[in-house]
Order: sequence, then C-alpha cells, then structure tokens
Amino acid sequence: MKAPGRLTIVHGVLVVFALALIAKAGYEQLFRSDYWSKIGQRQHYVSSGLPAPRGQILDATGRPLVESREMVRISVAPRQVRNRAALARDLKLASVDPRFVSMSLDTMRKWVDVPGAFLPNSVAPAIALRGVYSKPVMDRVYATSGGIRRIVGRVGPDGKALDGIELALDSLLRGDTATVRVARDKSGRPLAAPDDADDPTPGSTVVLTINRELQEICDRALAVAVDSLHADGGDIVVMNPNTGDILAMASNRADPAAVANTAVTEPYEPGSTMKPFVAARLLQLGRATPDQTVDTYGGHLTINGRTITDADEHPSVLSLTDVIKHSSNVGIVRFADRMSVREKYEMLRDMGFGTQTTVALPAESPGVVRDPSGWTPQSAASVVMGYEVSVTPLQMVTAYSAIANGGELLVPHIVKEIRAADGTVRYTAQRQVVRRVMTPEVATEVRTMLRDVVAGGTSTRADLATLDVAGKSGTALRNAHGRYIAGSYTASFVGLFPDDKPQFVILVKLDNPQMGFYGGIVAGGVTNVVLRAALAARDAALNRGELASSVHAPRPDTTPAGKAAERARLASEKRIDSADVADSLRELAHAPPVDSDPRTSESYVVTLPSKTRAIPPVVSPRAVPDVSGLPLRSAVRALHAAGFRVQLVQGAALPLVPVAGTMLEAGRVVKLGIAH
Amino acid sequence: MAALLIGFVVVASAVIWRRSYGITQARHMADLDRRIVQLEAERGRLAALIRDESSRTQLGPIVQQLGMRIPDDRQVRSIPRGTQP
Repeated sequence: MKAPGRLTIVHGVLVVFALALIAKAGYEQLFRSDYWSKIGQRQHYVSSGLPAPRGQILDATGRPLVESREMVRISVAPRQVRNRAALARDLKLASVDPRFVSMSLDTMRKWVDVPGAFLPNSVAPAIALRGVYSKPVMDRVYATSGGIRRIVGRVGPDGKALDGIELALDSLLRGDTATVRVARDKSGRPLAAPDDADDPTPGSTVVLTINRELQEICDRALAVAVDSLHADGGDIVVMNPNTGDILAMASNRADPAAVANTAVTEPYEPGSTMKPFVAARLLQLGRATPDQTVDTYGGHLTINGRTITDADEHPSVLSLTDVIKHSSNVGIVRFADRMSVREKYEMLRDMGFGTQTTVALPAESPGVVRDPSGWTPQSAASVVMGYEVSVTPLQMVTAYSAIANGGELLVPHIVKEIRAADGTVRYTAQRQVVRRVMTPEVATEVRTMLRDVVAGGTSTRADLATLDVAGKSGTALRNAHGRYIAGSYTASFVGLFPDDKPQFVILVKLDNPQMGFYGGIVAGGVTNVVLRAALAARDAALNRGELASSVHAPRPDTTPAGKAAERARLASEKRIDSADVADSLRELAHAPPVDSDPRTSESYVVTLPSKTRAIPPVVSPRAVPDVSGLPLRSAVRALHAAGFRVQLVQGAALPLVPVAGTMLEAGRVVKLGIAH
Repeated sequence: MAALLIGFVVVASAVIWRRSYGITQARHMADLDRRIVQLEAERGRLAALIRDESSRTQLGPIVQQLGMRIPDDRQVRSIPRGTQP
C-alpha cells in the first residue's frame, strides 16, 4: 500500500482541525449558549444607579427652605485624554482646584477623582471630552439663614444626613434610588434607551411649622443682640401656644463653628422665669391667692445658712402678684414653703421639665430635674427660684404655652405635614395635649400677673404701645463645672403676645451678655424688637383679624423704665432696626433695674429726642444751566431737570439769579426774572 | 441566487440603517435629558440666589445703610375681618 503523501496528511490535518472547530462551535452554540449570552449582555449593557432627589423642606407658607438639585462629580482618566489643552481650559473654567487640573493632565496617573460637585452647565464642555467621566449626584441647596440651617440640618458630601430635620426624617426625605440597565456604545459610554429606565422615587416633601419671615426676624434680632451685647450666644423660640406649632427657632453662638440647634440641645438654669409655675401650682392647690401677702424681710432671708436676696427694691410685704411682678426671690421661697418637696418636684415634672418634648429634632436634651432624694437642704428653695434645674428653651416655651392657652401642656411640633412625591399626604400634625397642668381660671390669673410684670414690673422694655404683652424675665447666674461664676449671667425673657389672646409665646435668652445682664432689659428689649418687626412684616404667622380686637389706644408710660423705653422707641423712628436695637440695648443695659417707687423716679432726667428729622440726602453741586433765550416754559423745565427749584420774579434786574454756570446744590431755589 | 444575495444585502442594509437611526435618536434624547438637568440645576441655583438675596440676612445691612427702620407698633394698623374701608 502506498504511503499517503505529505499533502494528503496536511489536508487530513486541516480537515480534522476544521471538524474540531465545527464540533467546538456546535458544542458552544448548543450547550453553552446561555453562558455566552450572559457574557455578551454584560459587555453590551451596564447597570447604572439613578439618584433619587431628596424631598423638599418647605416652611409653613410653602416657601422652600431646602431643595435638591442635580450636580455632577467628574473623574478623569489622564491616559485617555486626547485634547489636553481643552481639558485644562474647561476644568479651570469650572473652577476646579489647579492642583487637580495638573493631576488630571499627568499621564503617570491612571485615574483622578476631582473633588466636589459641579453644576452640570459648568462642566458640560469638559464632560464632552474623551477621558472625562461624570456621575450625577444630588446636592442640597439651603436657605442663607443660619437659624434655618440649624433646624433643617445638613447632608454630607456622600449624601448621608448629618443632623437636624435631614437626619430626623432621613428615611422619608431620601427617596428610592433606581437602577437602570443601559446599552453602551463602542467607546463604552452609556446609551440611554427611552423604555428601559424606571424613574427613581423622589423623597417626600416635609412642610415645617416654621414661618420663614418670622424666623429671619428672630435670626437678625438675635445676631444683632449677641453682637452688640458681646454675649456668648443666645436663643429665640417662638411658638403658637394654641397649636404647639414652633413658628421660629433661632440660635446663635459667638463661635462660628457651633452649628447645633441649641434651643433643643443645650439646657440652662432658667432663674426667675420659673416663678410663674410656682405661683400657678400654689393657686391650683388652693394654697395661695393672688392677693395673699408674705413678708420678704426687706429682701433678705437666710435659710439653712444661705442668704437669699432680692435684686430689686420693693415694699417688704408683697402679695403673690407683686412677688411675680418684682421677681422677689424671698417672696417666692416663702410662698413655696406651702408646698412639700414632692409637690415642687411634681410641679416641675408636670410642666414638662426633665423629659424630652419629642419634637422631631435629633439630640434633644431632656434637661435636668433631679429626683427629690438627691436634693440638698437648699434645693427646695433653689428650684422655685429657677436654680438646680436645667431646661431647654423649647421646654420653657412649651410650659409657658400652657399658661397662654388656658392650662394645657401641648406636644410641640415642628413638622406640619409630610407629602409623598405623588402628592399623597402621609402625615398631618394634630394638636396633641400631654396633660392639663392648671385650670383655665388659674391660667387667666397667672396671665394677669405676667401682664403686671411687663406693664410696671421688671420687664417694661418688652411692652408695646398699642398691644399688651405679658411675660416674665429671668436673670440667672451661670454655672460652670459645678460652680457659679460671679458676673456671668443668663438673661432671658418669656413673653405672651398679645396678653389677652396670645398668638405667640416668645422666649429670648442671651448667654453671658457683657453690656448689661438684666433679663427684663436686654432680653425684653430683643422681644420688643421681634414683636415690632413681626407686626410690620407681611406674613409673620399673626392672625391680624384677631389681633385687631386686642389693639388699644397708645398709652403713655410714666415709669422711668417706660420713659426710657419710650425714648428708645422714639429714637427708633429715626434709626434703623439693628442699629436701634444695638443702641437701645446698650443704653438700657446700663440702666438700673425697674423701680416703681415714685420717690426714686424723680432722680431720673429723661430727655426726649427732638422732632424726628430726616437724614438729608447727599447731593453734589451742579452748574445752573444757561436758559437765556428760551421760552419761559422751557426755561423752567430745564431748571427743574437740572434739579433746582424755580421762583419766578417779575421785573428782576437779572434774568437768572444766581447766574448761569454757578455751582449750586440740587434742590436750591433759582430765581428766574420775567418781564412785565 | 443573485436575487437572494441582493435581497440579503437590502434586508441587512435596512436593519443596519434602522439601528443606526435608533442610536442617533437615543443619543439625541440623552443630550436633551442632560440639557434638561443642566437647566433645572441652573433654575434651582437662580431661584436660591433670588431667595437668599431677598432675605433679611442680606437686606439687613443694606437697609441699615439706607437709614430705614422698623415701624413702631403705633404705625401698624391691623384691620379686623369684614371691616369696610
């Protein structure tokens, strides 16, 4: 048999190889088609996450406080970049840090993540270049107001909520991210198809009870007060006492790094603002009446080796009403002796102190109310004067709201409504009563006492001329590391406005003010400014119709403090709000505390400012125009146009006085002579 | 055979044209989507700017320079509901 030739062998090998290829292809096609199909899908399609826009946060009137916008993060693969000059130019135009521009052009690097998020418009030219990759991210746009930022909180660069409402309601605000599968083109860029994307579910919209206009008023007044009084900080909280709605909540600290909402996180010793609750409980228990009196021993009382003194001069025998009016420490301690230690403790707890209000804000402090088993022999006297007890400004406003609304302690709320992205209402705040803490009759009696405090007691600075304000001031020594610091005070005032049908309960607290420390003067002054600004504002959460029934004719105030307040008020008519606040507060901060004794009032000399004068406009001199030869009407018109007043004089020696070309201030009279 | 080949080429060309057209349109739609996002972001930026510039925080210092003031409560009239002028 003839041996096969070499060619036959080669052909045979090729045939076998071809058969092997066909067999392999058949095998892959018939038995591994799913595997290869998956590989193909993976290479052709890419899964991409679509960020869900976080929900809006609106104020009570529907104006946005925080909203989301889509921004872009960019990354650069320097080795893929072709047009390096264009990339450098476009990145610089987008305000990218020059260090990262250099890094993006450095071919020694494989990948550069450019820090920060950019407006899509600003980086659109850069994204169009080869080697530049973009990723959409959601950014939060916040209102400028610092106070609002403290309430709504922040979201970190990674999209995680850090504090405030953003954190408290994160699960509702963040929405659901969608994952879509998109085809890629030959260069690997996603190629969106119209029917393959499920839209992400946007977060819910949260409507707050905050009134933006009132919030800004409080922010501004507080900032000016902290600055002008050289205080360490301060807080203002305004609440609707009838619903528990928090209308404004401003916090300010001299340290710009402090961003906490201290109105709920930072408790303080309230001092004399605690006294009305003691009076209310005494009335409620039937242990005292407003007219019952105690001897205050000239404002000095020694109990258990500790001497309690009154800051203000007042008659030695005071009724309960006068004890509140003059803020007598001795008087309230003597009245409070009619309550047991347990009753005092229960009074504090009933008013909501020592427990969180459950407002939808993170890191709320419960304050400090110690159990009576831990009280010292002096504690029983201290707590009724507002010492050895710490409360947050929000707790204090909530407790005063009970006095304002007829005796019901309400749950304060800051979230008015939550709406899903499709408009469905998911939550609506309801008025929620915690407990009744006093009868309506007792609340009315306490409100009358508080009215006396502002009308002629320690807080006349807070009063208005045509509307009555009730309230109570507090001036408490500040405590640091367990010791009271001499000369360092917390000045506060809690007001009910108007006193007969309160629409606002407002607390103003200033920490360690250096230019005066009496709560009724400095904090009362800020309250007055806030109320005036709220009245003048277009929409500051006031029911104008109801307010109209509380307005009365302006009432002259003859007390020294009243005159001082009047002087400050009149001065305000020619001064701007903040300058006015600052000056008035400085002036009043140095004034002695209110004294209603007519003998001492004679020693004050009050100089009322002269009639208000408008600040003259700044005018530059200009030349008197030449009007010779012009008809009378045109001449007058030309002079008016030049800014002068014209007086026609018959038979004048000169046609124009002063003569044309004379430099004269605008508004001056130019005499224009006319023939007989 | 020739007719089959021509038919195949025609059908293949139609399929390729259809896919190319679809890709072009998809790319155009993606560009429009990006443009919408850009304009929405710009709208948000401008709206926020207007809000911020009209806030009391920004206006306060300007108002101060202009010598304006908060009116006294005696200068404010609250009109009850239903009152005829």
